[in-house]
Amino acid sequence: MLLKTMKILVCVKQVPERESRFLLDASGKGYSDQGINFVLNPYDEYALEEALLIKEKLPGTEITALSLGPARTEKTVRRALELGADRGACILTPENYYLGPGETALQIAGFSRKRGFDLLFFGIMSEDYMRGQTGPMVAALLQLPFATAVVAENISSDLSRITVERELEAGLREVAELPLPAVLTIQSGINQPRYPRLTDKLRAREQKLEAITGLEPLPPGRCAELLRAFFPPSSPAGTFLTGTMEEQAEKLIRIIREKTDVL
Amino acid sequence: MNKDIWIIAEHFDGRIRPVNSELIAFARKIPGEIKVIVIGHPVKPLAEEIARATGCDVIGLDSPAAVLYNSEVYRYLIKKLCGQDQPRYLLVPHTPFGWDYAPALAVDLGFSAIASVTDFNPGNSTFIRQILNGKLLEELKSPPGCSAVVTVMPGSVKPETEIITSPGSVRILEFEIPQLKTRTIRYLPAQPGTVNLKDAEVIVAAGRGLKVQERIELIRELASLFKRGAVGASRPLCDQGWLPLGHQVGMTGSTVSPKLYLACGISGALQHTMGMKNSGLIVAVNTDRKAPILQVAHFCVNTDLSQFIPVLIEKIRKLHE
Ligand SMILES: Cc1cc2nc3c(=O)[nH]c(=O)nc-3n(C[C@H](O)[C@H](O)[C@H](O)COP(=O)(O)OP(=O)(O)OC[C@H]3O[C@@H](n4cnc5c(N)ncnc54)[C@H](O)[C@@H]3O)c2cc1C
Ligand SMILES: Nc1ncnc2c1ncn2[C@@H]1O[C@H](COP(=O)(O)O)[C@@H](O)[C@H]1O
Repeated sequence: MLLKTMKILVCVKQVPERESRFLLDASGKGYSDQGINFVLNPYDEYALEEALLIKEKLPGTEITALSLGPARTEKTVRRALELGADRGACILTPENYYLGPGETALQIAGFSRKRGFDLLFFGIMSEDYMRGQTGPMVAALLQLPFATAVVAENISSDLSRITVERELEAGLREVAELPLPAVLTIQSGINQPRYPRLTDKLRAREQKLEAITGLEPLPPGRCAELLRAFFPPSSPAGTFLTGTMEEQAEKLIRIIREKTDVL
Repeated sequence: MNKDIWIIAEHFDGRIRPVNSELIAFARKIPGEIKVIVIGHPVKPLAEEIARATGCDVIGLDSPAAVLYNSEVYRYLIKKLCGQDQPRYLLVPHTPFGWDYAPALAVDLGFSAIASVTDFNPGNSTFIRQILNGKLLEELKSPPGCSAVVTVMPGSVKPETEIITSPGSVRILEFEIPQLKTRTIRYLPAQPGTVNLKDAEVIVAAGRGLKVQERIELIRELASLFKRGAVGASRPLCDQGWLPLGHQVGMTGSTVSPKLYLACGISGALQHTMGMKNSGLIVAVNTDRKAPILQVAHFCVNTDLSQFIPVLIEKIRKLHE
């Protein structure tokens, strides 16, 4: 009997917790990580969950979680193990090292080459840099087919193809079919990410991670140059209402009645 | 490489999408000659329409494989065109089609790639984009001598409205495309929603600031106090299953312009504001005085929604009595 299993890579990024307050770092090009609590990119939880759902259907499937970043990134890989990934790997970068999209993709592609992944999963975007570029770039580097903003997927019974629904604008969807191996970026809402099980939590604490040091060299001159980061204008375009809560509610009602006919 | 700016036009179902006028307006901020590229089959009517509407010179890339959107087709055809002549910037809308092929195209061409930009600074030829949900901006530049694929966030510039007197030229190039791996099968229409946001006069919209699912009742109650009031939502609430998808406002939900839009606990991500910023009166209830929603709201109530909304409901009730 044919043993139906898959090898899936899930790229998980470490990002600041959403409610964080940010200050610029010494270089003025990014945010300072002082006092910031880092978590697994919430968008990547959907990608990992989708891989776990495939594993439930095809037991024996092996899920590798990979993250690229400074030493603290290990915590995020362990989080992915707690959630159910089988293996964890870290590509370590120096502290305060800026990772552009091209360089991130180059490292992930380098890691993935020759490991025989059938599927490479990415989040739709990272919550800090919000680019949505890494998945398609890795696909191009590895010459694999890809689909972005996937909200449904189905693997053919012979494991040779995957049918996906991509989310377009205003509720429209596109149905596409790709041969495996393939790269997908997973859109939020595709599933409801799970909470860790105790057994996985215990396993994750002990398990050894693969640590990769030494980055693949970048071809010169092809990356955009980051000049600076800065805060958006702090003055709001609109007007803050003032006074007690009661007064603000009264003012708001007055404004609504003045400017519209809905009240 | 020349100094040209090429815009890759977007169309769907035989129609040029409005985002193209925004890209033209964006391109006009950058010094250089503008050309528009459009891919489709048959592409001629689309190319002619763009040339007429924008006055720009248009190149139509035609192939029988280009009936439906396919990233491999876009990459193949644009690469062919760049084999003859390379622009300084390739501008692509940051939409579900654009963000799909643009990064891979940059890799194919050896261009730098800058995603979801909202502005161009002509002083030092830099692009501006949001990071960290809009809490910070970053400024990037494609190094001299390096072309760039740049995706432009919809809704970030006012669309071009210049009256065009003479249409641009149209050139159609036809190509055979080799075997494709990815097959686009069809498009599925949006599921009919349970709410009609388009006809609502008032939308009370809830975001993650709601924190507790039960508070949706507060939002419902407030919306019900208006004759044609409806409940809207930011994407995370629908993702979590707190409200059905039909309530979602924004890029991947509905585009609305009610007389009153009350954004409760919504931070104002571009994907959200894209769908509501043309509302008549926009009021934000938000505890963060720096939330990006305050850049589109006309009035802001800087308090905890769970305390403020009951007070507001009470006062409106009194009014109705
Ligand atoms: C491809 C793609 C498409 C997307 N499409 C859409 C779309 O169509 N529509 C959409 O909405 N989003 C969309 N998003 C998601 C979008 O990027 C944002 O993540 C989302 O809009 C944020 O939702 P939010 O404002 O409710 O949550 P958050 O960003 O978490 O904001 C919560 C806000 O609530 C405030 N708050 C907290 N507590 C309180 C309180 N007690 N009282 C008052 N205020 C409080 C906070 O200050 C904060 O401003 C899309 C994302 C991607 C990647
Ligand atoms: N440093 C990283 N380590 C691991 N995965 C990453 C990293 N950066 C980006 N990714 C993956 O690429 C996706 C898109 O990120 P981005 O292109 O930065 O928006 C994320 O959701 C992750 O799946």
